[in-house]
Amino acid sequence: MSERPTAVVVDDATVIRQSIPALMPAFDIVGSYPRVEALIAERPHADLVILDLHLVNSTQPSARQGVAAVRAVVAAGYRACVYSQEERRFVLAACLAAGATGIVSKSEPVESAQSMFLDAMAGQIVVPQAIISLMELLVRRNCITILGERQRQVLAGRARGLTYAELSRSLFLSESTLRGYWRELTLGVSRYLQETTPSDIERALGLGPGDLLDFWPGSATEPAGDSASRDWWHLR
Amino acid sequence: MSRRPDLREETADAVPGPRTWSWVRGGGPPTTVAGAESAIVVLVIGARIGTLVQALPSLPGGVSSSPAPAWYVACWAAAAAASITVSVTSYRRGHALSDRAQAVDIALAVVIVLLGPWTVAVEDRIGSWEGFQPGYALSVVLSMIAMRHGGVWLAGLSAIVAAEVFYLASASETASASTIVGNLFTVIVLGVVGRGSVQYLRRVADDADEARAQASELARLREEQRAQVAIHNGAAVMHLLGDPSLDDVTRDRLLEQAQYEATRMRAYLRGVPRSHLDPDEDTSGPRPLADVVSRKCREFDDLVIEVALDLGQGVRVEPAVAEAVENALTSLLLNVRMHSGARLVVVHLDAGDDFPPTGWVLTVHDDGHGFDPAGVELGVGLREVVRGELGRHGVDVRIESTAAGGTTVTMAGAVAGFPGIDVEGTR
Repeated sequence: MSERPTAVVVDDATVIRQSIPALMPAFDIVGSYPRVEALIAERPHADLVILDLHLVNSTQPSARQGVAAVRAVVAAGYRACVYSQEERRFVLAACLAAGATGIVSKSEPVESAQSMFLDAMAGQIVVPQAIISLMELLVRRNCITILGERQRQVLAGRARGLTYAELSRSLFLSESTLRGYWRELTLGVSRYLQETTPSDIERALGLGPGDLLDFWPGSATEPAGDSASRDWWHLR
Repeated sequence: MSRRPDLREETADAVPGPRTWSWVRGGGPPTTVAGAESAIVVLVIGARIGTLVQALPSLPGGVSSSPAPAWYVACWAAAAAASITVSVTSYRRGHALSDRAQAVDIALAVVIVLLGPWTVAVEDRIGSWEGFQPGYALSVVLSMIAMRHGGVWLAGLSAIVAAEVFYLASASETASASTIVGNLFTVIVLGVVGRGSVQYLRRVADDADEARAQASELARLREEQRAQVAIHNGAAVMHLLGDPSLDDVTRDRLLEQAQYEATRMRAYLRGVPRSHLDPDEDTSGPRPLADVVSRKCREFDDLVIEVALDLGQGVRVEPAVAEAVENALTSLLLNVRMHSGARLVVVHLDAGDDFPPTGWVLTVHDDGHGFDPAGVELGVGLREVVRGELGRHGVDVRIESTAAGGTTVTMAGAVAGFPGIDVEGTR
């Protein structure tokens, strides 16, 4: 077994599958698959699954994708890190609720994305800025009450875009301490999202009843016909 | 830094001359340093010529009773010539004579007073205008109050008092001691009080001119700031539009912004708020701040902006504040576009946990290369459009940045309204 961190890539785009090993040399790619089903059939050992959300195309119209793909990868015992162009925050939050360890945007610079994948391999929850704002909203609406004062300060700073270096100067704490607070915080939020029903979250966020049902794992009904390709994030 | 204009140099009344008549018609000299000096000149002329006019009817009697008529006439003529010279010269100059010229005037007065015992009959020396010397000395003391140098003034006053003591002593047989002392006190008290009043008048006039100069400078600065606020963003947009490598989408966005900024500039030139020239602008009441921020951020879709407004939803601000925030955001995002090299901008609105909310905080953070605030003078955008203009609308602004560490601008203001709840006047 290699000492270097390992990952597999699940993406329907051949270019992505083949370019990641060359562009991200900090870890080894031990497998690449166009669909989740192929990954689960082969079950290679890897520290992380780098997972695209949009996997249906004309060559694999029945591929599992979206939140369902996340749930399937997690159920197979992998750490899943979503690597997608998706930006809708409730879809991204649904991925965390489905057990994703991280979410990395395909618009991130390569170095930054590689660093985030390494963080996810190390067990950290990696969340984009849109989700950080959502986390702050949940905390401020008292949905998540386990936070200490320092964690609240770190969350408020991150929600405003501050880096650890900037937070370190204003809170007089080391960056490693702040990262520790952030780790606890994100784990707590991840647990909350996985354990809370969509209707509770709808109430907390002031959304209308059923607004989250289309996104949330375990709540959607099987889409039928054309809507499946249109609403591609649905469970399938 | 440009030299501040000194109103004293520009005052039209620096030389009173014939304008004195316009004072009479207009209610007195202007309340400037030049006006105060002119008022002092009027006082000097009044004292000198007035004394002369009072003494004139007694001239024939004085000559006839004088033990040395020729000397009496000579002294009287010298006094008259001095008074007329001082008056005319002061009037023409617009302010009192120089200390040196006044010293000569004082010396002449001392001589005239000292010659009094030889030129005036003893019974006329006190209490009559035949003995004009004490009255003349008093008029010189009153014209001395305009002297600049305190030491010279004191020496002159002392000399005149000493001469008058000599003169009055020569008449001790015909006047009581109390009359003699009273005459002396009159000279001393009027001299001291008069000088004190003139000094005070000059100080007030100095302060008034200084206040006018400051007001004028403040008005100039304010106008300069308004021009900078009106023009800065437009200039930045035009600069960006001149970039030949712009893609079509960004160019279209910039053209929209240019149109907005052109309206702002026209409004400035016409001296009306921008909303007066924009038919789409609703100025009927407080505006939702989240909408203002969201709309402005959408104009910069070439930037990666993460907009987090959930915590400030519902907050309304006065239209003027909304416009100032809009302009500040434009300036900040133009800065990001032009200078920062940022990959991500986070715009975050928070109205706190109170219900109803009383204040709001808008944070704009970019992860660009930043700057050292201590080592860099803020540009017009940050200084005037962001800090200055928002500050004038009661919004506190904090700018934090480090070289290579990103920039955070935090704006905090008062809520003017919240759906269903009247929080007007609270903060």
